[in-house]
Amino acid sequence: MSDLNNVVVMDQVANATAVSANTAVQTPLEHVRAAVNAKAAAKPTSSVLLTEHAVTGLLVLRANDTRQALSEALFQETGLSLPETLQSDEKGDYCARWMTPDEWLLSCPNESAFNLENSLRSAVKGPIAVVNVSGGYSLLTLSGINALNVLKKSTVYDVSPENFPEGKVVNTTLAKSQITMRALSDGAFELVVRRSFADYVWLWLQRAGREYDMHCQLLDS
Amino acid sequence: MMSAKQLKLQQRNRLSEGGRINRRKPLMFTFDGRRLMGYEGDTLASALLANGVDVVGRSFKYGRPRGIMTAGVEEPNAVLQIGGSEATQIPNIKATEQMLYNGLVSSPVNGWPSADNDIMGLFGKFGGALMSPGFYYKTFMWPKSQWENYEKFIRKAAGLGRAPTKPDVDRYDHMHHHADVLVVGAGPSGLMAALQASRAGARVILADERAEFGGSLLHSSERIDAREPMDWVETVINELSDNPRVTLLRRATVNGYHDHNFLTISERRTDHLGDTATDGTARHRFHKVRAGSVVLATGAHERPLVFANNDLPGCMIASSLSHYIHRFAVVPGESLVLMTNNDSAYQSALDWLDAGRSVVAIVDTRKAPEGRVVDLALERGIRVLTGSVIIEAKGRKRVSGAVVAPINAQGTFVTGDTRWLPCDTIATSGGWSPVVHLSCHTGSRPVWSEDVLGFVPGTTTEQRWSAGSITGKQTLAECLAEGAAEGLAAVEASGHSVEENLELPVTASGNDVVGETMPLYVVPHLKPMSRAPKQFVDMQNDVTAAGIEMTTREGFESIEHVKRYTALGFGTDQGKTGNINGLAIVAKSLNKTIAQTGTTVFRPNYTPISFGVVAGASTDELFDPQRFTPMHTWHLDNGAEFENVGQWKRPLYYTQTGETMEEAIAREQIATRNNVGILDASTLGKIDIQGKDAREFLGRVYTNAWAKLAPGRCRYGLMCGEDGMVMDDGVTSCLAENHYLMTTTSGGAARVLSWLEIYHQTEWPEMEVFFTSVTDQWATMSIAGPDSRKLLASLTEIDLSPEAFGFMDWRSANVAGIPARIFRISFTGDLSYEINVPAQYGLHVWKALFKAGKDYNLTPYGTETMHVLRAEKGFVIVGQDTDGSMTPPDLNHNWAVANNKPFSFIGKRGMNRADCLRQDRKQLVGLMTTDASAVLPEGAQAVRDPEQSIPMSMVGHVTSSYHSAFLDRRIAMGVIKDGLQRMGEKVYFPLSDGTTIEATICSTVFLDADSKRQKS
Repeated sequence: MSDLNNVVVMDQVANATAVSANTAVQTPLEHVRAAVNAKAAAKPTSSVLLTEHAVTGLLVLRANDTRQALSEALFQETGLSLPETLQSDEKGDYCARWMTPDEWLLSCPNESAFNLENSLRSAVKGPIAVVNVSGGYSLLTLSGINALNVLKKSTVYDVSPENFPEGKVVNTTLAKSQITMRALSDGAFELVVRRSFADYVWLWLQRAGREYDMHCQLLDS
Repeated sequence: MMSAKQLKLQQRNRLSEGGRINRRKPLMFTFDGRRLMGYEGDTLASALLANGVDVVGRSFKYGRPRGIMTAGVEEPNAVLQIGGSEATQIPNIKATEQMLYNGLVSSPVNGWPSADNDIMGLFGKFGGALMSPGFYYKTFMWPKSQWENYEKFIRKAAGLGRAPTKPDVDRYDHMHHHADVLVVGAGPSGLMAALQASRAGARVILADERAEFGGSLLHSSERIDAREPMDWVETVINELSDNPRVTLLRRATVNGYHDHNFLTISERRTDHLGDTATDGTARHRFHKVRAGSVVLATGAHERPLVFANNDLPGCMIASSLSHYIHRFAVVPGESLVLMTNNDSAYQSALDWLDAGRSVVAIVDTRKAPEGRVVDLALERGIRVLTGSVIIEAKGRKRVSGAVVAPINAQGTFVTGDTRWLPCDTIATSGGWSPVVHLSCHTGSRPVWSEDVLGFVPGTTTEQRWSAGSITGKQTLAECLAEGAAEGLAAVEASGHSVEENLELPVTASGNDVVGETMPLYVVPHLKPMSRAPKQFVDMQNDVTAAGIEMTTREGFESIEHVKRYTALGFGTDQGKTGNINGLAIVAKSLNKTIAQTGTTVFRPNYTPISFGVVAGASTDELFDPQRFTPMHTWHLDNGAEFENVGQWKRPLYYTQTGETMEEAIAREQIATRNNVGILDASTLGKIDIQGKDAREFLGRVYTNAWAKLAPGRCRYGLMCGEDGMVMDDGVTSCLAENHYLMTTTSGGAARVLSWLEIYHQTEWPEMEVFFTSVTDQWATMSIAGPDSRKLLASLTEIDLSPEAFGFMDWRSANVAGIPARIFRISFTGDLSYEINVPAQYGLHVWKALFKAGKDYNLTPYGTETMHVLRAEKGFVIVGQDTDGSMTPPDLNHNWAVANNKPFSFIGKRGMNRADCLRQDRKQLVGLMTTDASAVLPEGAQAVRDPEQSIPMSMVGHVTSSYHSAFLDRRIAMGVIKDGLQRMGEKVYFPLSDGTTIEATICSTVFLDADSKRQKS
């Protein structure tokens, strides 16, 4: 723990010597895992793939007048700049997503979140906020030729490539929940879902994808 | 049982060749228990007609036999029940819309013992006079007390079909689309519009309600570019389907046109294949389209002419004959008399003749019809009787002949002798009614056109165009041209430039010179309307011309009132064939024009849609999001019963084998008070607050003071609305000078975050503060009870002694090896620690606590026990003990209001209004029942004098009531007028069973008044 600018920065990753990460860490879809046989092998007819990702470092970044300074600090640390409205910037394991006019969601390797938060805080003079929310979300990707159709059945947003090209980020609704959605290459999509809604979103997508023989790939528990 | 060959031969109205059916794919189906055969490509209606089925139902009021009248969605009579099993029963299916599939089971929706021999028919014959318009109001009103008995009888007689009693086995879903141009209807105009829009590179959706695109071209005898019209359609469809930016939707009815060009389409994906959809496929899909431009190419419905006994099976709409002959190779009769007031119907007689059946006569209401088709008919040797009408059809269950008579030029009376024309089919055409329904949905009123003799779309604020017969166009060439032109305008308005206009295809037909249509709706009879045999206007509701006329005599002048009094235009067909004829009768009776009379307008949906398609995939476990905590699987494995808190699933209690709910809750309470219990509190709303103005901000949104809260300390806060009423509460902890963690109620988290943001963004943007929801980030487990310190000590390294870690302190620590924040706060009144760990470690820490907790009888408890424990200590639950009308002083929480803060706080002014300062407001107090086991129902009303006569003066009500296992008695809280000044007084609760419970007003704190437990 450290105390910069009179805030508490907490390392939220357990010491590997204290606990085994394999047994201690639980991704949000534990309930889905228990409820459905999601490990069925992909069928030859599967034209869409839904994948769950391991716990990722996630930092909410906030800045107003300090935006430029924060962007420069971020560039120093990760090579990313704070993206413009509805855009994202991605390099390797790092990706910054525009969320609101003064908010970005940064993903990073889980174990580097603490150091990154400290570095950003020490680099920027003036008001910013950084919140580690690594455990609060589930990251999913939807890929394959029918990924677009699965999304069309799930969100009111126009997800066609001309309106939602690679790299674009929107916050919108997916069925009756809220998600952050990013267009990836090859017609794939990244979905960032609040942890407590992850089961609902997963089950929804699973139903929407059934007609395309969607293959659902949960992490091994 | 009949052989396949016999079944084939049974199709006596089936032509040996032609039609758009697949003769190699025979399909078996049943109607009213009869086994019949049709072909792939048939509708249920065409298959029934092929088999010579005349009577498909009985009319709902008079029980008269009814047959198939049309070939489309406007069908009023052929409304059937289908479904092979109880779960797949569908009432109100139009046989003209339903595609045939193998094994289809259908039956009439009314008629007992069968549609062919119906008991109600007798009642209709002799009781008809009793059943005039408004007969519900007139006949069944006296004596009033008997209405309930009448109603049972009426309900049994009325209605079309029955709902299934078993759950739907099918799936439904929704799909969202964003299009530049949506074209509604794939007839000649719609196809041209879609072609024009697609060539401009626009995103185009073309939707049509039928299984095949083509619209009127499906049964046309004309030529396009010197080819069969359907060849031309195929070329166009091939081009459209090769274009990835075009979406083609068949069997897809655009059923709603909503504001801002938002349209809904119900696509029937599997109804043509079988009783249920195959696994994974949605039976119906609801397409929600946001369109830049809309082109309505919805066509027109042909109107029948109204004459006596015009509801006899065998009476059909003229164009439907062409439909059945060309599309299905079915000629629904042997000998035809056709009556028309226009040119278009002649083609049906020609098609009939071409099919090898006899045309007895064409009866043209016009004195001297001039169109080219008239010459064509005469050349073919058809007898044409001009200036004449069919005044009456004769027959029992099928037309056996037509009574024809000459009329005057205005069509108002019969001028000469009648003659009898034997026939088994009477087809009529009274002109065409544009399908303006969708154009009305957004509030645009249709306009009567004397040229068209129909309503055409009115002006609109939407980006909408109309093309083809919806605007009154009569020839194919006009329809193609208007489709191209409107498609061009629509696509340009959607932001696409068009480089090349479409070349219009060349048409050739017999009706490119069209004679004028005669404005005639109801055919005169020898007798006055009220004495003539019934002349039906609305078949589905058994509304007659005489009935409408009588309604106007009774004083109903507004068309809206006439509609509701007679039921004209109600039902599953919504009067698509009858409305204009009904209007014409009203207009004539009132001596007005149709334009002056006006029309009722249309709302979504254009045709009936299933409930399933409205619900989509939001059913069963997906009805609403179910939010789970990180420990949910543990709860499932350990006997938890759940309750919904907002969208969260929270354990209500945990049962052990053989335990009742009451026993489980009592066990949980005792274990917590005597040893240690654990609650999953992850659902509590949590908001991370950072910034140098965070402390000041808290002081403004909470009623109490925050200036002196030191890092490492926690404080309870009350949040009020501007009105001074409590809206949320929770504990906020000072993590560091510029960093706080606020907790909210589980259900109030989103609302509170919005509240903070609204005030920050609109009132105090100068404050340097950031709010971030971290509800999902932290798994929260609350351990409570005297042994909780010992339990926690076994899993953490920090000093937990009261001196080092006091009540309302928080500390950073590792718990079971996981970085955690521990808050020494209590919602039970006992020694308690709330442990927050990152959510991904929640289950691990929870399990570690149970492993260590074996020695202390660690007991999981649910929200019910939590409620009891907090009530024992007098802690309120916002939303249970408050109802949006309680100020902090009403809750006896003056201690949580700091009136001397330098800056005001939200709610200060509101709670100091005169009315809020009244002494006799309802105030939260404890209620101790005289009988320790008497159960005060939550919500029970309090009175001061149990002897007072009704209406009694009510002085408050119970808000919380529980059995406290630890105190071994009932405890309750309630709001009582002036309660805080009346400690020790008695109040009474008269219950609905006549008993009265007596209680004493007391403190809300039933346990440990000096808080020794929680501070220990």
